[in-house]
Amino acid sequence: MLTFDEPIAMWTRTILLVRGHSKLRFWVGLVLAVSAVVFGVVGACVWEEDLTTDQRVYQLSTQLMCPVCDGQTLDQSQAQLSLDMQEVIRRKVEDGESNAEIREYFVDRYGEVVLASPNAGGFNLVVWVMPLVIFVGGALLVGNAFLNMRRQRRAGSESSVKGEAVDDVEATVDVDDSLGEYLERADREMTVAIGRREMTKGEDKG
Amino acid sequence: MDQIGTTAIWLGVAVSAYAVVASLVGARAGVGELVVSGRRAVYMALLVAFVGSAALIVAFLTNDFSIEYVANNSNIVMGRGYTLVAFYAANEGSLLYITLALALMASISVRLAPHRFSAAMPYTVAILAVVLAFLFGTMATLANPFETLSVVPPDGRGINPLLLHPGMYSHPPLIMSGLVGITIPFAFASGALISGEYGDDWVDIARIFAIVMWGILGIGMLLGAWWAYTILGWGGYWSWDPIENVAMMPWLVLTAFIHSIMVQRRRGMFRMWNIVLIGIAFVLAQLGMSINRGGSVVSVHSFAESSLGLLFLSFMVLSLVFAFGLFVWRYPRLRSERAIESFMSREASFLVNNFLLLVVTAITLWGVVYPLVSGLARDVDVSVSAPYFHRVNGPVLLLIVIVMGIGPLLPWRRTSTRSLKRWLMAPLGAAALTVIGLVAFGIWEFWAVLGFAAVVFALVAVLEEWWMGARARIVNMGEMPWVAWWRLINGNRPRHGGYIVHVAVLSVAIGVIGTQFFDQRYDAAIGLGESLVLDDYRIEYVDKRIDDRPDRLAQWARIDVYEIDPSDYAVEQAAADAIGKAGFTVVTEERPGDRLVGELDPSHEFFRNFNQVSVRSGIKTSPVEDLYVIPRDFLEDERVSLAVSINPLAMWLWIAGPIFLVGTVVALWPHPALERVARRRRSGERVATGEPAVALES
Ligand code: HEM
Ligand code: HEM
Repeated sequence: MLTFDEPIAMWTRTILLVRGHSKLRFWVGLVLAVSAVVFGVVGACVWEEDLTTDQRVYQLSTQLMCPVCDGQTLDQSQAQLSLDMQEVIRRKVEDGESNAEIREYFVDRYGEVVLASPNAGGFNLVVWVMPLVIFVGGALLVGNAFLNMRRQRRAGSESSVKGEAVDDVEATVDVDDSLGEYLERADREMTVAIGRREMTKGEDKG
Repeated sequence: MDQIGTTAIWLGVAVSAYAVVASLVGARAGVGELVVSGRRAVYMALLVAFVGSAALIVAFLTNDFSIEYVANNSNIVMGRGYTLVAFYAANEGSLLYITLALALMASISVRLAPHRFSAAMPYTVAILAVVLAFLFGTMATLANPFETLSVVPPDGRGINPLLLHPGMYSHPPLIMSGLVGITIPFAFASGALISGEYGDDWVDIARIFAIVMWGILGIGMLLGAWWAYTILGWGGYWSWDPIENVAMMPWLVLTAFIHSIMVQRRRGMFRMWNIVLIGIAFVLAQLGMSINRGGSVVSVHSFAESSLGLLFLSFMVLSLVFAFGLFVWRYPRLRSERAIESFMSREASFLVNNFLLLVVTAITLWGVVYPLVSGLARDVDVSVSAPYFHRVNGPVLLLIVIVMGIGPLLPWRRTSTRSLKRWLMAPLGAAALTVIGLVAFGIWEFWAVLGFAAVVFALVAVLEEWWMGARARIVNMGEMPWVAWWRLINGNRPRHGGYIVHVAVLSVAIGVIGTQFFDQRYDAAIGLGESLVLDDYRIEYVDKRIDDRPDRLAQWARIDVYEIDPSDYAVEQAAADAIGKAGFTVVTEERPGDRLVGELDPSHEFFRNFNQVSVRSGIKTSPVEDLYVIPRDFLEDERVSLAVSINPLAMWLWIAGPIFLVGTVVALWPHPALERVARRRRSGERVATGEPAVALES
């Protein structure tokens, strides 16, 4: 089965080596780790076994296309051929054949086009790997854009007064902030303010 | 009629071509009158599109079978209600409909465009008119709906039987309008870019039209899914068919767009990116029209098949080149003023949102084109269908739900880890409880549990926002909870409208998880007086009704649904289990535990002209699960072959519709004060703030 976590780990390490920023490193690492696990599990996941005959017939019928209907799987199609194919599947399941064997049987008869999703092997590996490439490539692009912006800003803020003290310190509204941004946060601030008032009230009483 | 129609189409070509030329020349040469007349030409295009459509509808209503298109899509016995809408049932007429829709929306948008946008308008009008000219031109030369027949047939062929459904009145018009309507935000963005004068102002207008089109497309897809659910007869609603994918892709990109323009509106960032996004959405919309019209990929429901696919594809490539060229040309003016300050800010969450939405789009696009790739690369046909998309898109969609929960908790610019942690407590706690609860109930499916937890997480995050905001009002101003919530929403409609839409997305997610992971299915043939038992339902075949008409043979199965006490059927169940059956058949006899809960009337119709079967499922729905019955066939020996499935939580897919609509309308409801502030802030003008130096997020 495919394991996807290798390239991700490599890429993660590369990014983390190239740029050092602890908090960001944590987040990027976390996101990539989560996606590695997610994809790893998905890649390795095989749905089968301990299902009843009916469930397996149904499962297989969602994985095979009806050869005479445009773009419908067997379970969706009302065509006679598709009903017949489901009977064949049932017999084979009862004969103890595995899902892979049954799929292979239909591929031999109708060609690869009968599979609702290509097998992950040979040239068709491309179709499975590409999503991962898209995901990781995109993540790298976004991470990079973000880091660039941040670097720019750091470089800029050294000369300006108002951009300082960004990190974990509690954020405050810059004096510079305009009404819009103020209003926009109003809901939440009010809550906080009230919370505080309630607290002080409590203290007064106590 | 055909002469009126054909004339209208040629006039349409002329006025839209004139609109292009007049606008461009007028703008370049600085002739105001020309610009104005170019704009009016768009209204003229609307007029002729209207006349053309009216002519076609009249031809349908009067059974004018001398027109080929009418003869192919209508007949005498057809219900009059359907003749009214049959004009967009196939390729030529749907082109006319699209043209009408675009002309209408273009006219409205041109009319409503604010005065301060006037320098960019000629270019916007020109772009709109180019697309109109393309559509009119295609009809005039290659796909004239008014083509006449030399021999007039006595009766027409009739409409495609699948289309005889109330969905015909809503899904096609909405989805076609939504797709073609993406031209409008694109035209405004490009117009601004070409004129070069409107740093950030175009986003206000583009936002409105983008959300309108996005809303129309979203509702259109949902209606299509519901249509598929009720008639295609497979109990499914979304099969990752190419036609479905090409509607979803531009919609996803628009979703990304309406988030990322918020950043430009508020903070002047992401300028390049927004242009890129609307360009991609536009190009993908054209891909959709191209695939719907032709040939290159197989689809269950493309009703406009024709040879126009390639033409639309070429137009798409042209648009791509145009959008890209424009971008490169204006690149220097698109730099952001500010940079992202913190990874934990709303800006950054939008970046992640955009990333995820585009990843789903790109993966989906890849899945759609891969059969072509495989065909070209090694001459082997392959199919890429639902199982593929479930695996590759599923995890990313899950991530989207999670991020959708976190994003709204982050304020603009930056936040402290501490306050984020505090805000995350309730959602995380609720998600953890969900996992525990599900596992306690014996639900172990990893992805489903994770999915439900993610949904609860995001839902509680939104509720927390609303609760905290409303509580502030309740405590402070002594308002009633409902009033407080309503005022809270009213205080910032774009935001809270968005949150309502998020809730709608969660509702869809619930339906998807329920139906994908927990559906049960059992097929069997039963005779009159027999019942089929699945889970805790007994489905009794009580009666059969036949209607033999000239155009079709329609048969109904009257079915009574009983809720049963499974222990009454323990013996049969054990026997079924032993041979691996999901359900079993019994001869009907009343058992005390059985309770009649519904009557269904599913039908199976065979259309002779089309040699095609159309089934209408019987659905007993509830918020917990749908019992879904399809008569697959009525057999010679008086038995009926039924496919029965239980689709848990399916109703939540449709509940999402009204929520989505409400949220979209709330977000769109004009909010002049907020908009003024946003504009002023962008133009650098300082707004007197009083003293906003309140400590935040302590
Ligand atoms: C998941 C469900 C569906 C999606 C996402 C979907 C999507 C689409 C798209 C993208 C178009 C083309 C719009 C254009 O060319 O501008 C379209 C058109 C249409 N759809 Fe659907 N569709 C769905 C289900 C259905 C079903 C079940 C039916 C009917 C049985 C149906 C009937 C039509 C019709 C009649 C048109 C207009 C055809 C034309 O262009 O002439 N759709 N839909
Ligand atoms: C991927 C994760 C997502 C995140 C982080 C996110 C975040 C947000 C936030 C924070 C807002 C409110 C902005 C404000 O303060 O006004 C918002 C608005 C909105 N969201 Fe989302 N969202 C996500 C996904 C989605 C999805 C999947 C949809 C719809 C299908 C959606 C539809 C909307 C809409 C319509 C608005 C209102 C836009 C406006 O009024 O201009 N969002 N989103």
